[in-house]
Amino acid sequence: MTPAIFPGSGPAPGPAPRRLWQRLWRWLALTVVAGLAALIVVAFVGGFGRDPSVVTSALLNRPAPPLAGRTLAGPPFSPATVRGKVLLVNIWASWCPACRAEQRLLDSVQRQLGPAGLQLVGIDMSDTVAAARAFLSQTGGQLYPQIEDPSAHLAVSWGTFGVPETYLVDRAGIIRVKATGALTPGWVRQYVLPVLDRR
Amino acid sequence: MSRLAAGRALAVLALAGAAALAGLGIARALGAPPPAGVQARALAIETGLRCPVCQGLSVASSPSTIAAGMRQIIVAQVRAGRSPAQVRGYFTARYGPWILLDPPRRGIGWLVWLAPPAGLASGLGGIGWLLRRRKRGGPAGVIPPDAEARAAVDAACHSGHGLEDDEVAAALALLTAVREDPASSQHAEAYAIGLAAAALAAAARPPAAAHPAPALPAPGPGDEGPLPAGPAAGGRTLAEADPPPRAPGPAARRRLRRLALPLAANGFAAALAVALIAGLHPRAPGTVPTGTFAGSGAGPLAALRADAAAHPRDPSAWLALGLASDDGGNLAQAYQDYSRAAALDPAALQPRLLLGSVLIRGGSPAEAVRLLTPLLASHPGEPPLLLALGLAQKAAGDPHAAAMLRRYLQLDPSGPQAAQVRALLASR
Repeated sequence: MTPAIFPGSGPAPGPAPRRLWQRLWRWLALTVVAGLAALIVVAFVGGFGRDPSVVTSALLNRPAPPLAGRTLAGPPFSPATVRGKVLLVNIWASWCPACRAEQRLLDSVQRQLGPAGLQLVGIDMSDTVAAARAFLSQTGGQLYPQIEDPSAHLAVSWGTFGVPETYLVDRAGIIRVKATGALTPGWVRQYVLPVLDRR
Repeated sequence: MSRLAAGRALAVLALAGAAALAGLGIARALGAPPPAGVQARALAIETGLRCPVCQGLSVASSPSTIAAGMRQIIVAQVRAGRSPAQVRGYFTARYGPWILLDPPRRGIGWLVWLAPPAGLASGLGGIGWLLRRRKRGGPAGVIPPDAEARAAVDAACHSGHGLEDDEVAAALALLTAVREDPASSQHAEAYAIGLAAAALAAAARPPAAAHPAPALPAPGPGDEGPLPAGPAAGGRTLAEADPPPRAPGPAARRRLRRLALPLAANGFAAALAVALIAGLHPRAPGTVPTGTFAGSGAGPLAALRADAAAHPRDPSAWLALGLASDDGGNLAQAYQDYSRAAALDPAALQPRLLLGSVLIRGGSPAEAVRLLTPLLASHPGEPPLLLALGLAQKAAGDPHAAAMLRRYLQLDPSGPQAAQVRALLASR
């Protein structure tokens, strides 16, 4: 043997601590990747179960924004006429099919529950006065005040996403529920009647 | 060598250029002066708010009437001296933080803010790690350590492989020389010798349990593969390329390790697919793609069709049905329904305007012009007619379009579509 050939070129590269570090690093990376993958799966599972376009109003259980503006009938809306009543504020437009679909129900709700202290108020959003008046004469909605809101300023102040939307305001002026889409008799029974009975 | 150097210089130059451009962009973005003027300040707020109707768009870029209303509110509030935070507060009080396009800097919102820098940092770290590993593992890692070479030679000498002493001495001298000068031109030979030494050591080693495995970094899941093609293959030691048996069923383990990454990727994809299938609810035909109407039951379209069938002489029923088909994207059906409404009510403007709109969107603007032009005689000052006709003429390439749109703007200067028409006229 010729040991002289091996000059003992320095200490052998210490592999043990580096190996440990490498293994730790590998586990850390694996954990991070697995965690991210799990997070994505959870986000998908949770995110697709709900409809992102349906958002609850930030105004629930808060004081209702003021109602003001000209009515489709001509004179300005007078808040005094609805004071102390349970309000059903319906935001609609003549170009909206679902608004047309719910109009018959809105009229009958005003007829039947008006004497019990319910008052409907319409906000005609992003519409022309001519088209809205045609809607009123053809479809209904003449039993209660209709505020014109061509530039949607009033609707935005109520936090509206689209038409139709209906807000239930109790006698203290607090928004209790918001309905997105055409009203149903079931919704009226479920939400309007209890607030109306609470005197 | 000079070609390599030139390539490297080019790469460095390209990187430096990219870094300089990125720095310039960041400096410009950071140093941009705060917007001056009411319109500019309002625009800065508008771009940060979400349109309630077209939810992928900002208020600034949405064409919806509600976004137009919001823009007017923002301009009015900025003009009244309210700060951007106050204006945004007006909208968050009504729509919640949902209305802000920037996610909130708290709770889970931090994830969105921190993920990009974290991704960038981990990417740079990964590149640095790879470069370091390549540099370290390149020439030096190919040659087995002294102790291993010595053991290999010992084993070879004692197991009667028929090696001459001076051959072994020359080979070991070469190994040592290359180890001391990694840039040596004899690298390839040394690599071959190292390979042979490792093979000899493996052959001479008694079964696993009696002899601990050599100290080698454990191969990662992606590290398995064919033998390195040469010394420049880098990144792996010799014995790793030919791992000695160290545990029962090493082949199965290796196979499992090789499959681990594809298996994990497939599992992830499967989990996502299951989540998608389980989470996405089919929409009833005719429902508007943005939002399911609460309690609309069979869908508004079916109800409207039933209504129209019950009142076939009522133009408004056909109009509503056409609007619903239009909303659902069925232009052909909408065209039929609008035509029915127009036929039932020869004097009405609305169904004809809607017909014109369908024709424009359906790609027949010339037909829309033919339909709408005769109506000017009976409705000379009707802004929607002027607007629809102007847009149809514009789409058809009619030279009268600009004049028609200007007439519309005179009659309805503050209408919801006025700003867009102005932009259209200016863009010409």
